Amino acid sequence: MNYIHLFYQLLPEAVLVITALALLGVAVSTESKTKKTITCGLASRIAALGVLAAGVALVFTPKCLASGSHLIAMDAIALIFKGGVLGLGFLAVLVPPAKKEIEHPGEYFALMLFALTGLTLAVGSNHLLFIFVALELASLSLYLLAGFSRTPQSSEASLKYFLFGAVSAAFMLFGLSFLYGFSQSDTLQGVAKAVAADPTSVIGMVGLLMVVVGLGFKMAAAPFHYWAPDVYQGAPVTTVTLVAGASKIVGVVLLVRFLMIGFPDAAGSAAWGGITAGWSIWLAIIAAVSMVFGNLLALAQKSVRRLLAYSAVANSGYLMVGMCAAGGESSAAALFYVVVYGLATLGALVVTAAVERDQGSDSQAAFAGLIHRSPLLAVCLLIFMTSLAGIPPLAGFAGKFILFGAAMTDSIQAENSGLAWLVGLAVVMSAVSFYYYLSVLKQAFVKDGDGSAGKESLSLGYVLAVVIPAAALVLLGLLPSVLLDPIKVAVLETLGMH
Amino acid sequence: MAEALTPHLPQLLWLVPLLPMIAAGVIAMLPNGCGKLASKVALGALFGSCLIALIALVCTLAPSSAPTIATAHHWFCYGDEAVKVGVLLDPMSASMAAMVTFVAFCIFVYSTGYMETEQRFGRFFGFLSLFCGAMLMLVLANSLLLLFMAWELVGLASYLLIGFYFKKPAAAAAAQKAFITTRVGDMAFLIGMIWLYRESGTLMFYDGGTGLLETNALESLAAATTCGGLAVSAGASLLLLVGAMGKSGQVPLHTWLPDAMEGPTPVSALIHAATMVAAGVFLVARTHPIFQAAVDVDGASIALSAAAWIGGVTALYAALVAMAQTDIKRILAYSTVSQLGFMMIALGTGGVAAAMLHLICHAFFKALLFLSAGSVIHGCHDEQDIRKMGGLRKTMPKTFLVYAIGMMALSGFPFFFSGFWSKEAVLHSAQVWQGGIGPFLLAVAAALLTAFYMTRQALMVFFGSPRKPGVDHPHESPKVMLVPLYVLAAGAVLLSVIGTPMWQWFEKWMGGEAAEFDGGALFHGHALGLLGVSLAIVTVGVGASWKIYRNLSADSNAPDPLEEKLGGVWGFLVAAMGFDTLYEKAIIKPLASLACVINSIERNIFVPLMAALEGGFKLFGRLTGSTDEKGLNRGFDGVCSGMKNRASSASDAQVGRPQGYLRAIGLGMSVLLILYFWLSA
Repeated sequence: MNYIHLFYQLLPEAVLVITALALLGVAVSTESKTKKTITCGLASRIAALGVLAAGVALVFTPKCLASGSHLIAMDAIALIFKGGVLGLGFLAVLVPPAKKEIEHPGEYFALMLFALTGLTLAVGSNHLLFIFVALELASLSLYLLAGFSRTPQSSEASLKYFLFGAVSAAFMLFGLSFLYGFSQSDTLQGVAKAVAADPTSVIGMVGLLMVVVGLGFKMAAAPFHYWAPDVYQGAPVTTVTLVAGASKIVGVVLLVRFLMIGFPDAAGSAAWGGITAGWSIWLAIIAAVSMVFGNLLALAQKSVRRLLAYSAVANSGYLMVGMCAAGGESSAAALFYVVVYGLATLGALVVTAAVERDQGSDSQAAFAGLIHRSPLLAVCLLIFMTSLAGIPPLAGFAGKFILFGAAMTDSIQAENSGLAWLVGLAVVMSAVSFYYYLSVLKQAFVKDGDGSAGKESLSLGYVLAVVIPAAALVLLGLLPSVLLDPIKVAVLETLGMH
Repeated sequence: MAEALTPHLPQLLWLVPLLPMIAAGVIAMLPNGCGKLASKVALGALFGSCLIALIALVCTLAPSSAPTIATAHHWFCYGDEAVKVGVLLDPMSASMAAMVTFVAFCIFVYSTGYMETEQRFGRFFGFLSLFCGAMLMLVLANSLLLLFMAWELVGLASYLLIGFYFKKPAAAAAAQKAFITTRVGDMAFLIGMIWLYRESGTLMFYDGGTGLLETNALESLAAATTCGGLAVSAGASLLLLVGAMGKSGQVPLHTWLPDAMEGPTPVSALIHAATMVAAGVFLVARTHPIFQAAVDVDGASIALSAAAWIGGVTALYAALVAMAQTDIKRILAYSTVSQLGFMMIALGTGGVAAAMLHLICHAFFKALLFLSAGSVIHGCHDEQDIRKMGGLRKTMPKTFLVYAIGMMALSGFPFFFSGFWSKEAVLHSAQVWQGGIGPFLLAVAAALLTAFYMTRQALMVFFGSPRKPGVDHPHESPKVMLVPLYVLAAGAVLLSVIGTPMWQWFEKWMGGEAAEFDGGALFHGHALGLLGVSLAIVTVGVGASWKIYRNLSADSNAPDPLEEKLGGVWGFLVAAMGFDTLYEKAIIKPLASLACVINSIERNIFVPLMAALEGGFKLFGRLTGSTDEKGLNRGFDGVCSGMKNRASSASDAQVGRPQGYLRAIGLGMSVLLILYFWLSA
C-alpha cells in the first residue's frame, strides 16, 4: 500500500478538511480576541475558496483504478460526480445565511465542508463499510446544519431529519452486514461475484432491499420522504441546497453502484406482462408511488419550499424510472438527470431564499411582482421552474427526454412493451407538475406586487448562485452531449470493469 | 488579422448569432430604467457580430465551387438517429450575414435616437437583439431544422415588435395577424421539411456528400415520385415555397405585411423591409438545388414556374395598390411586397445570383427609405399621411437628400444607383427564361409602376407647399439619426458596382468563379436592348407621375388627381383589391362561428367534467396533505415543546405519532420484500 498515492487520490477531500479546520481556527481565535463572531460573508467566502481549491485539486487527481487500497475507487464516475458534488456544493456555500439566522458562521460553514467531504468520499468508493462511514459523516453534519438556526421550525426539521436518518441508516447498516455475510467480501465487486454464483439468494436480496431503503431516504423517495417537507421548510436555506442538490446526486450514484455493479444479474424485470422477481420491480413501485404522491401533494402547497420538497419526491420517482430499466444507457441518463435537477432545484431554492429574506415569507404570494422588483431573479426563476417542468430548450427537457427514452429502449423486449406503463405514468405526472411550477411563475410574472416592497438587493454570492445554474441549464439544454457523453462513457467503463 | 482568425472561423461563426442572442438574454435581466445600458449592450454585441461577419465575408472571396465552411455537429441522439446541426459559410450566407449585421447596426444606432423618449427603451433593444440573433442563425444554418427554428424565432421577434405599442388596438391586432398569417406558411414549411427528412433521412444542407443539397440526395429526391407522378423534390419544394410566400408576403399571404407597419419605424426598416421578409427569398435561394432537382426539358420545374408566376403577380399587384395609398409607410410596405415579388421572379427563372443581388441592394435602399420616412414622421410630429405633408424639401434638406437617393435606387434610376443594376439582373433572368414571357412582362409593368408611385410619393412629401393647416414647424432630425442614413445612402449608391453587366462580380462569385471586367458587355445587343427597356420604363414612369402630381392642390382634402381618371378602380386599389374583406368573409367569419359552437360544447360538457375531476384531485390532495401535515407536524410540535419543558416523562406519550411514520419505512420495506418472495415463489 502506497500512502502517498492514497493521499494524492484524496487530495480534494484533504483540501476540504484543511479548509474546514482553518475556518474553525479563524472563527475561534477571532471570537476569543474580539468577543465577536466572524461575519457570514467572510465565512462563506473562505468556504467557497476551499471548495474551489478542492475542485482544482480534483482536476489534478490522477484517475487510477488500482489505488493500492480498495477503500477508494477513483473511476470515471467518481471523477465526474465528485466534480458535480463540489460544483453544487460551491453554489450552496455561496449563499450567505442571514446573520440573525446563524449565530456562529464559522462552525456552520465548517460543518458544510465536512458534509461535502462525506459526500465526495461516498461517491468514490466500492467498499461497503467505507460508503457507510462516508454517508454518516455527511448525514451527521447535515442533521446539525438543519438545526443550526435555533428557531422552533429549524429544531423540528433537525430532529425529524435525524430520527428518519437514524432509522434508515440502521436499515442500511443492517443491509450491508447481510451483504457481507452473504458474499464474505467487503467490496461491491466481491458481492457481484457472489451474486453471479447464486442470483436468487434470499439473504443477498434482503440486504440489497435494506440498502435501497437507506438510499431511498437519501433521495427522498416515497414512502421514505416524510422528513423532506419539514427539512426543506425549516432548515437554513444553505443546508437545504446541499440536501437537495449534492446529497441527491450521491444517492443516485450509490444506487447505480450497488445495483449495476453489485447486482446486475438480479434485476428481474418490471415490464408489463413480464414481471419477474428482482430489484427492478421494487424501484418501479417506489418510482410510481413517489411520482404520484410527490406531484399530487405539491399541487396543494402554498409554501414554495414545501412545494420544492414534494417536487424532490416526484423527481426521485423519475430517477427511479431510469434506474429500474437496468441498462447502461438509462443509468447514464438518470445520472445526467440528477445533475440537471440538482442545478434547477438549487437555483429555485436560492431565489426563494432571496424572496424570503426580503418579504419575510416563502409563500407563493410573496413572489407576486418579482419581475418588477428584480428582473434577474425573476428570469432565473423562469429558467429553473421551466427546466424542472421540462420545457425545451432547457436542460430539464433534454434530461427527461433522454431519461424516459433510455428507459424505454433499455427495457423493451421482443414480446412485451417494457416499461411503457411506468414511462407513461411519468409523462402524465410531469404534465401534472406543470401546474405547480407554473403557478409560482404566474405569481412572479403576472401578479402585481403590493408595491410597498422595495427592490431586492443582491450580494455577489446570490447573483452567482442564480446566474451560474441558470446559464448551465440553458447550455445543457442546448448541448446535452457536453455532459451526457462523458457520463455515458464513464458508466459503460465502470460497469464493464468487472 | 483575417488570416490569423481563419482557422478558428468555424467556431467564431457561431458567435455571429450567439452574441446578439446573449445580449437579448442579458437585457431581459436588466432592471427597468437601464435603457441606456441595454442599448449599449445590444450595440456592442452586434458590433462584434458585424466584425466576425465581415471577416467571414473576406474569407469567402476566393472563388470556389464548394462552401468555404460547412460543419456538422451531433446535437443529440435518440436511438440510432442523431440530430445534427452546423454552420454553413458560402458566398450566399456570407453576403447575407454581412448585410444583416451592417444594416442592423445602422438601424440600431438610428433607433437610439428615434426611440429616445420611449419608456420601454431597453426592452425594445432586447427584442431587436433577439431578432438579429435569430436572423443570423437562419442565415448561417447548415441544416433545414436549425433554419426552421431560427425562422420561428424571427417570427416571434417580429410579433413582439409589431405589437410593441400593444396598448394601441391596431398594433395588437396587426401583431396577431402577422403571426397567424405567417403560421399558414410555416405549417407548409414544416410538412415539407418532415417529408424531406422521411425521404432522405437528413436535414443537413452539406454533410460530406450525404447532405440534402448534394448530388446523392438530390438524385434520389428527384427519382422518387408521389401521387400524380409528381417528383418528391417538386412536391416538397412547393411546400417550402408556400412557407417562403408566408414569410415574404407573396400573394395571397401578403396581407399581414402592410399592417405590420404599426410597429415602430426602425422595426419596419429592419424586419419588414430589409431582413426578415427576405428570409423567404433566402430559403428558396438556399434550397434552390431541390427546386431544380426535377426540371423538365425546357429548363423549368413546377415549383420554379410557380415561384416565377407568383412573384410576377405579386410584383404587379403590390405596385398597383401602392399607387393609391396615402400613408407614407404603407406605400413603402407595398413596394416591399412588390420588390420581394421581383426576387421571386428571379428565383423562379433561375437567377439565384440576381435574386440575391436584388435582395442585398434592396435591403440597403429600402432600409434607407424607411428610416428617412421615420425621420419625416419624426420631424412632422408623428404625421404619416402624405396628403398632409408637402414642401419638406426646404425644412428637412438632409433627409430629402438621402430620401431622394433611396427613391431613385428603388425606382431604378439609371447607372449610379444599385437598384437599377439589380433590377436589370432580375429582368435579364426573366427575359431569357424558357418557361414563358409572362413573368417578364409582369416585371416590366411592375417596374414602370414603381417609378410612378415613388415619384408620386416624393412629390407629395417634399415638393409643393405645406398642406397641413396650421403646420407645426417640421424640423430636421438629430445627428444620431442622420449619420446612419448617410451610411446606408452610400451603400445604396456604391453597391451598384458589383452587379453591372460590365463586371458581373457578384454573379460569378455566387457561382464560384472569378469575374473579369468586360466593358464591351454593356453594348452587346442583348444587354443594350434590355438597357433601352429599363430607360424607357423609368422615363415613362417618372414622367407620367411628374405630369400628374407636379401641380398639386394645396388642400389636403382634395381628391387625388388620379382618382378622377380611374373612377371606381381607384377605390378598389385603395382597399388593396379587397383581400382583407375577402378573408374576413371567407375565413374569419366561418371560423368565428365554428369557435362559438365549440365554445358552447366546451362550456356545457367539458367544464363540468373538468370541475368534477379537479374536485376529486383536490380532495385527494387535501386528505393526504392533512394526514401528512397535521399528523406529522402536530406530533413533532409536541416533541419540541416537550423537550423545551424538559418534561422527559411526557415525551414517551407524544412521540407516538412520529413513530408511526417511522414505521412507514419498515412497512414499505416489508411490502417490497413480500412482493419479492411472492414473485420468486
